[in-house]
Amino acid sequence: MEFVTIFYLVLIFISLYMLVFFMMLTIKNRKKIFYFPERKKDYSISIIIPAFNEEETIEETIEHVVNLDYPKDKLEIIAINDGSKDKTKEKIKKMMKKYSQLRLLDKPNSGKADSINKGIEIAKGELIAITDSDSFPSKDSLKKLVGFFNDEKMGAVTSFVTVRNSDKNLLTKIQEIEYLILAWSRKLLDFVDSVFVTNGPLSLYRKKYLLKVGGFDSNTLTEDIDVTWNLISHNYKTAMCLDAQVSTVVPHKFKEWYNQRVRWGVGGIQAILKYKKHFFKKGIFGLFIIPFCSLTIFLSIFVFLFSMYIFAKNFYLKFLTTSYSILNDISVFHFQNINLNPSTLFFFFAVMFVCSFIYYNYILYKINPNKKLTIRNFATRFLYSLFYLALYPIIWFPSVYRLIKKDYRWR
Amino acid sequence: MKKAHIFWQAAVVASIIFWIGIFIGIGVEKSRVEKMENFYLDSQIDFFDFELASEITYFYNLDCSIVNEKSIEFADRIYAEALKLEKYDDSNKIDKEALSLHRKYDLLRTMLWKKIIESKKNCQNFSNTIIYFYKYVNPPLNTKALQNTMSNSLLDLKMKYNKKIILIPIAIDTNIESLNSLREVYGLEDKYPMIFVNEKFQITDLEGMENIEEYLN
Repeated sequence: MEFVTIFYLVLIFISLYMLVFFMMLTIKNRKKIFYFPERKKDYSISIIIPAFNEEETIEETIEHVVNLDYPKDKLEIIAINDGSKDKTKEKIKKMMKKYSQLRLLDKPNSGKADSINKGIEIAKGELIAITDSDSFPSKDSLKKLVGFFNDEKMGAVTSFVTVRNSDKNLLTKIQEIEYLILAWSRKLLDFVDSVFVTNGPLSLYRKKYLLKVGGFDSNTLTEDIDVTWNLISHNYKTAMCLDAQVSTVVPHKFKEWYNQRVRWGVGGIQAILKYKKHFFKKGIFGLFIIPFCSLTIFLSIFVFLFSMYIFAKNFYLKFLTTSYSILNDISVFHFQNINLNPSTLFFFFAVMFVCSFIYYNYILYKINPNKKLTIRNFATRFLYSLFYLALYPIIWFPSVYRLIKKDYRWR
Repeated sequence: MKKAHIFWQAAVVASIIFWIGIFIGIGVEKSRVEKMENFYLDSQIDFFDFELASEITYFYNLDCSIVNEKSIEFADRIYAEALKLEKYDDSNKIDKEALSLHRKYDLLRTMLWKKIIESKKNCQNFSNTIIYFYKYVNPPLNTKALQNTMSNSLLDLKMKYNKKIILIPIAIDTNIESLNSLREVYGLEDKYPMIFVNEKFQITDLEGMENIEEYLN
């Protein structure tokens, strides 16, 4: 058997394993997917909203936070102006006149992680909720998250992020599908204690554990991944509530999307490098989370490069054959050359693709059963499955480049 | 860790599905090879028939056109089978038995060529023979492109002249000793792909293909 065939078979097995793994988690936990425990205690909660140049959305975010369904005497809201150059500060001050529980922490720009740490320093709550200043938690989201802290070892609980501006264009529509599928898979990972990222739009942390692990690391580009891994590596639990929703604004321009994803890419690799000593150490973190994330990145890059090599090789062969034929007035194509015998590998890939596509559609139906399946929606899902996922690994190249160049600017 | 056994369960289920897929794949690929083996057996019988027919023709001084027709029919048949074999070979990724089958076909084609050379000595007005030598085992990309183009060109020629041409493609790198001897007899250049017309003219490039019609009788 050729090396290429063996490589493809290994790849098929890994993909098949992941697909079966997630499908089995779905089947086994189908009745618990949207479950959240009732809270046994009204914890005091400090909600931190770090903001940098968010004059357009900060007021609405605060409105959503203030209107959260949770005992008002147990809530404290801290909006942090991280040296904004626009009118973010003025807008927060305006909201303070309206809502007495809102506090402002005005500080020079030092980045999101540092801003959150400053917020934690002055926060009085037992739990710390962090929400991005362009995100909008649903009314019942917070109370659904709190119940998870009945478990004394629970360090952080994250929510289900939906896309607010999904109707803007194709890019936002595809991101909506991506967010829904990510949320679902994250919830499934919760059933094996492997929620490896607590998102920025809305996550809830136990303050004493946050302080124990040293808060948020301001040297990383994805402080949410880092703090989650830090908590897990200290044997604290993380969880995800699929019924606690928060909507957020996603990039609608390619450049913004690209910058965001490269930033996530750099942050992801930073986290792997930072926690590499935990690789294959006993426990879910060393045996699954780090290898899973590393393998995902490694395979994305390797498979993409390999596919590009095969594509370039075939393209070059076709180009040479066509140019020879044209130059010498020879038929470019003969029907006898068409091969209608699919190879086993192709058949495997086709079956895997169809199964994944059906599974994605099942997820999207379960999360949003009221959404009509129009031809346009179906086409977007197809685009997501076939092109978006296939081309996404491109992001890893600039991410690795930025990491090598030590370019850790927030773009 | 909650439900850690799911990792093993998934591994077992994935392995079962994977191996079922592999066995189905091997089954499909084997059935293709078997189909070609059956074609080959039929072709072998046809070859013996052709061989006997030509010997009877010479022995009893019968009309040579029968031998000519038989050789064209047979060459066309194994040419079509060669195309099919190439496709199966491309598609068969797990079971690589097609390589030995390829050798058998190359041997059969060499035998046919040799028989045609003999027939040409005994019969006049025999059809033109075009032997197409190509590299089968991992040809470089440039050679592959050249082979694809030459192959298409020969297909054009065959469609144009049909019965006037006996087209026999033979791979030069499947270790057929008799083929090597024949190549030596005709002093063929060691440059491939190559088209050898009527045991006289060697063409090794696309420019040379423009004159191929001039070499035909």
